[in-house]
Amino acid sequence: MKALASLRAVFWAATHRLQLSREIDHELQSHILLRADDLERRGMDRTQAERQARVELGACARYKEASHQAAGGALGQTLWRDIRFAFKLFRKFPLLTAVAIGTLALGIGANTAIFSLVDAIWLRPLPIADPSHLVAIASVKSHASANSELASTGSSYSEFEDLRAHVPAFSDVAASDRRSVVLQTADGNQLLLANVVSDNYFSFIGVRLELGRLPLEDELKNYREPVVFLSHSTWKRVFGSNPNIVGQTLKIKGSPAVVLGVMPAGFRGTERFIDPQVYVPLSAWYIWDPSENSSSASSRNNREYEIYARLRQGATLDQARAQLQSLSAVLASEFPQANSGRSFTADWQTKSHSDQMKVLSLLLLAIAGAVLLIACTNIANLLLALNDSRRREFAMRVALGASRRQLLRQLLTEYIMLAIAGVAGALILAQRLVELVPALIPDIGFPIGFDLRLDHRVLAVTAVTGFMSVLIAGLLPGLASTRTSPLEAMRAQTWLGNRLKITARKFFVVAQLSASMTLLVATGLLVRTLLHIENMDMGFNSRQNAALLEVAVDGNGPRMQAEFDALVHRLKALPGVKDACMARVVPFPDSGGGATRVVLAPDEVPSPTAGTSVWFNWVGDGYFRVMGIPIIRGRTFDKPDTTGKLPVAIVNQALAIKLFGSDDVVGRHFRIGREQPQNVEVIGVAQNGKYADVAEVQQPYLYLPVTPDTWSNATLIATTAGDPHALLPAAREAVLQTSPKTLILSMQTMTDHMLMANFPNHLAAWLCASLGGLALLLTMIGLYGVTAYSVSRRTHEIGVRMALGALRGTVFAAVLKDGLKLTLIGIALGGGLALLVCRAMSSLLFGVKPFDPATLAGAVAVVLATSLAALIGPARRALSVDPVNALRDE
Amino acid sequence: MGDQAQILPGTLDLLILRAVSLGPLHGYGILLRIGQISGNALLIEQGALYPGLFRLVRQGLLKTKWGASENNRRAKFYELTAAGRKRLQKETDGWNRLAAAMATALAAQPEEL
Repeated sequence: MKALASLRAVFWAATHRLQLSREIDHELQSHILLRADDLERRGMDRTQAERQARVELGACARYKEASHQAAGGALGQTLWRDIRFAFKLFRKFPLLTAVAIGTLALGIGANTAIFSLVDAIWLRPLPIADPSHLVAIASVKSHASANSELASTGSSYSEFEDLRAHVPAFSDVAASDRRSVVLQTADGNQLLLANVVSDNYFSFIGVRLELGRLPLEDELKNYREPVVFLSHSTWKRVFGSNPNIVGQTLKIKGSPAVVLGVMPAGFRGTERFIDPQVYVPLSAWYIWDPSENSSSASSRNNREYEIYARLRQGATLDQARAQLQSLSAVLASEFPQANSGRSFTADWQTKSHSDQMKVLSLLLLAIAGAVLLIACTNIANLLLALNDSRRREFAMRVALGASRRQLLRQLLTEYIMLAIAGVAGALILAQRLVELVPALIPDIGFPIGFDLRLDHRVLAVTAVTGFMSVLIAGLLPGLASTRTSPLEAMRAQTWLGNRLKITARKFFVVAQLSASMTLLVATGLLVRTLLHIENMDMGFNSRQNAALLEVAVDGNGPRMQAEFDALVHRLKALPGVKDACMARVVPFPDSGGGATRVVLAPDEVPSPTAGTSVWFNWVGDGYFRVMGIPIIRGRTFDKPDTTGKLPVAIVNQALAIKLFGSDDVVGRHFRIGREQPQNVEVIGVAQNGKYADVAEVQQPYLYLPVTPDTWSNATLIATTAGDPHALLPAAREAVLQTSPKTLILSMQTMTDHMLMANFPNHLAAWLCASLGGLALLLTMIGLYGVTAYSVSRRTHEIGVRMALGALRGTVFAAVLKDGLKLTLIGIALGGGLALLVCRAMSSLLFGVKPFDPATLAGAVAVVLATSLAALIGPARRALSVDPVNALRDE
Repeated sequence: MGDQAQILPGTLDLLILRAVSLGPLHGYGILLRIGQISGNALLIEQGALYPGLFRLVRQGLLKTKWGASENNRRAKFYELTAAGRKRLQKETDGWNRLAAAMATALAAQPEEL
């Protein structure tokens, strides 16, 4: 209590210096007047009484000062004095100060940017109610034989209802699915990414809406018209933050829809990488599309929904898992066709992120930490040098009676000021970096990208990192320089102290060199992975210049087919276009694997669980030619297939071998479908390729010709000899002219498409390379600094040597040798460390082994070369030492 | 002035607390009160009072309020806080024990040893 009052007084005094001194003045003045009144009453005249009173009061200024200190003002005053002194010091060493602040800003700024990225990727809790009890549920197929089955971990709507009803450990369960809807505005049509959600989703997330209020589940079922909720950014971008938007009617999917609310800023549901633009309750969706409103057993195979649940108070995740296990068993026996071999798994939502992203995040954090460490050692070196040049000043102050505590307080003030400047610089830098990140993400016309923010979490981490760094970096220099006894310090040379400091500095530099070496190896491996992927044979020509337009044509049946034909024809006629075609998808669809078909081998008996589900594509004329996919046997769909005969198909080699055990299968028959299998004839065999993931094992793949019952969504592919980016607007124009009702869902170049497919690899390589470069730069500054310092310390020794007839070459070599010794130790330690680090990041590597001699050799060469460059300067300075001057200096 | 005693270091605080314990006072009033209760036997340099007052305020033993003096001058009045009252009690006891011990020690006669 007393301590608190005292502390408050100190704080008050520090912040109210002027007010306090005025108050003391007033009080002393009032004392004089009161005393004078008394004296006057005893018969003195007024002027004399006041003079007398003033004399009696005594040394006014001294008492004032003493009162000030007694009131707690002393601390504020010394703080102010220390700050002024520090400013004076920084002005005296402007270069050193600038380098220290710059190094700090770079080191901390890199960390801030990386932390905000990792925060957006998985650390930041989802902006929904009670995110810590959120559980993600996946439906996993055991013994899945194909990637397509592994990939589909979603659940059907019926399963969502089962999960809600039969897992008591969950207080509630919500379902959501990403779809796209068309919003018609006065400016034309635009495609919105919609999260179609179960009706209880809104009460499940429990957020405060920007506008409107969260609806109850039953309420949503009673609406006659579809209702929607806008995301904050859609509200801002499309509706200019109109405050009266709630209750207005929009035109979505061709029919009216009422806006019920606007989601809060930063709300993305359970998404991290995607920012859904509109949220549609299922009841509303069913008004648009009544046919979907059925929960019959047949729809159990539509595993469209991502399921999230909230654990009930007091229930454990293990209980939930056990209940999911028994529910899975019940469903498997009740619906063998849909659920045989499937079981629900559950984990905390925070743990359900992809391993690759997690490893990448940890790697980036580790690298950023290493960069910070390097920056800190540089700062420690700089502060040592700064304190060294102030040795006499310290000694003088000690001689004049300053305590070590006072010296340390002065240093602490200086370091805190450096930290404040460094943190401020870091924030500015991080802000710039964060603004740069969206440019790294290819524009595919979809609201993707992480929600990077410098919010209070990031600010807190930055501030703590900044101050900790400076304090740790300043610890050794501070303790080392304030230990000096005045006598020892007044002498020009203190051998022991110098030895210690030089050893410490060498240790720092070796640590920096080994950290840089490790980073370079890691960067090298990531870059090689990227190069490997970019030079990999994907089974199609992924490096050609092409424009990809995902479109939805209006109409169905023969009219749709004619529409597509017209579009392809028009694209082919565009100037600069080499060739064009259409297909349902191109390999590496943005949504992942894509749709599947069940195929039956000739000898397989149809049953609810028979067959293999494989990815497939509907492809138009010329697809294999345009995409550069070799047909090994047979022919393509180009020649019209006479009607009445069997439907035809092209299989890839893997599917041929899976079905027939050989790839010489032209003319043979197999069946498609599980319930009523349909016979198809193989007319060609295409070469294997990659379809969804560069690292996938060889996948079976089925090509079917475009028929009247295919979907109205497809991708138009136009190859060009020129710039594909320039082709995009022309192609868009051509499509809209040919068929005004056609919707363009997305437009991108083949290059951007492949970039997107390998986004984590690109991100990893890019970030790692920039951080590695930064680390190397900081390390070289450190090595330069230490070598230059030790040369300046050895001027005397070098002078003696030269006076004794040492050759210039010998002196030069001696300095280089000293520096290179450090470099080699650093390389050896860093190489060892790199082996450990690279093993941990093996899941990010592809086509290159964690132990890669070429990368290792490259890193050694880079570190050696940059070290030499950093050493040349100081070594040449050693040559210019004039023996006479050097000896006279003593 | 010759019959006045310099106060011992550390006793000023106790005197102030004692003076103020009899009712709120301004700085000059405290001086007068100390003179009055000590029979004008203690010498305090007037200005030296103020650092002591500020120290006691900072320690939370006194609280202050600006007001009007008996002859209508603006002045800062000091008052004991609860903590101040407790401290006064403790210091008084301590001082009395010390004084008694000192008195006994100084009055000791050779035959008593």
